[in-house]
Amino acid sequence: MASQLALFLFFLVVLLLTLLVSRRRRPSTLRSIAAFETLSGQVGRAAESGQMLHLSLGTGGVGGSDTVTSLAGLSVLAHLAEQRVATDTPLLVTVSDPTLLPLAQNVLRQAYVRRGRGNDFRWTQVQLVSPSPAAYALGAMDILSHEPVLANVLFGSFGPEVGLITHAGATANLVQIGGTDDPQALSILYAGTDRAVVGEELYATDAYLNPTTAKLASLAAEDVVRIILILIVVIGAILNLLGAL
Amino acid sequence: MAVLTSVILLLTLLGFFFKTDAVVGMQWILVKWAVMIAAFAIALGFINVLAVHIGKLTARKPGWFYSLVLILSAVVVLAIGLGESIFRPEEGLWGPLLAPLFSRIIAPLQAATAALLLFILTYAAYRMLRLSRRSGTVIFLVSAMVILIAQVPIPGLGMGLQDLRDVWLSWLAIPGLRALLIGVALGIAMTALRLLMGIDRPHA
Repeated sequence: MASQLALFLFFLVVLLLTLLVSRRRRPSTLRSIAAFETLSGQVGRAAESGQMLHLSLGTGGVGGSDTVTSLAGLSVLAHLAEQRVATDTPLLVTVSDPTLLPLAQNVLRQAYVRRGRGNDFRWTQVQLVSPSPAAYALGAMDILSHEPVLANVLFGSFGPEVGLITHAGATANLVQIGGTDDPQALSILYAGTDRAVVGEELYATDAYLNPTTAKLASLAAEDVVRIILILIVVIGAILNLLGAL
Repeated sequence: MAVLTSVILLLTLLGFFFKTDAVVGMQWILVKWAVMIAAFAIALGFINVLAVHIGKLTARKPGWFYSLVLILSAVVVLAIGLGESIFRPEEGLWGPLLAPLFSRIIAPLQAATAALLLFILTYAAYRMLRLSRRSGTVIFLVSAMVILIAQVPIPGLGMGLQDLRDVWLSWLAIPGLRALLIGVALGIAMTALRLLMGIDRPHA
């Protein structure tokens, strides 16, 4: 328990130091991630064509081990919701876990309220398809096959069933963008989508789509911790080779 | 809402680090609240499913018949579940009517869907080979081919291919997977800290 507390405090200290440094320096620039650029382009295309964007928040929920991944999906929703209300881009959001439903509805509703259009919000713009991953994938396939969808955006926690959803999207010739944390589902997303967000890029979603100094600093803090970890691994490997460990 | 999230996150987190009665007691109260809220979320989800499909049915949208089947199924299963929980509470979800619905309808349907996935993934790999112009595509497909072909017992070539697969897995695939998982863990830790400090507020 002490080691976990030490690790937590180490992360916290690195983040606080990076936040302090970032306030005195110019804001850092982010490397380009193709998936996020494609995502922004699709909003404009959907607004022009009148076709909708489908956002799948995956099969995860809030309260379990996939909470943070689901919240990364909500960051994409927050970004698309603002665009949806500003440009009247049709947006359909689907979830699998009931705990994510009220949160997703609230994020979308807030975007309407901020623009003074609270009355235009419909609760059924966010749909719970099924709590079972397989049934959720089949329900999402049905939406992609029968609704006028332009792009299929998949951000959240997924399992191998994501292959069914990307297959329906590919059959309908949709632009597909996705990101998840599960390596198995990620390999399927990589094969099945036009642009996939790989590994920790998923957790940088909010910093990319709604950048602030603090969010950019937290990404820098993540890089600092990563460099320290790499150094530990390399030094450990060298010591192991030399027979010191 | 962001402040509330941070306070609740911190209280729950403290319960993991400091096992004093007061902190653990507070953690359990919060966990119980979360369970109750999740139960209400399930009820909301059920209403959402009905609202979406009643909307499709009344507007006669394409596939309205399936919406009708879904609504009837949902109402019938709910009635059976409620009936059994009232009259046979000791059996929980495994009463004489509800259990066969899971074991004879839902489970076989899920197994059939999983079987379908194999063909769909093969087709996805073919489509990727045909259409994708990404640099990683070649590495991705070569990896898949090495692993797949090494499973086939080819006389004379079998051991060589298996050696290649073992080298591929232990020198490239597994280190790559570990690097990916370390990155994901770092991302999760930093996102959790951002939520704790109110920097990220995707839910609010």
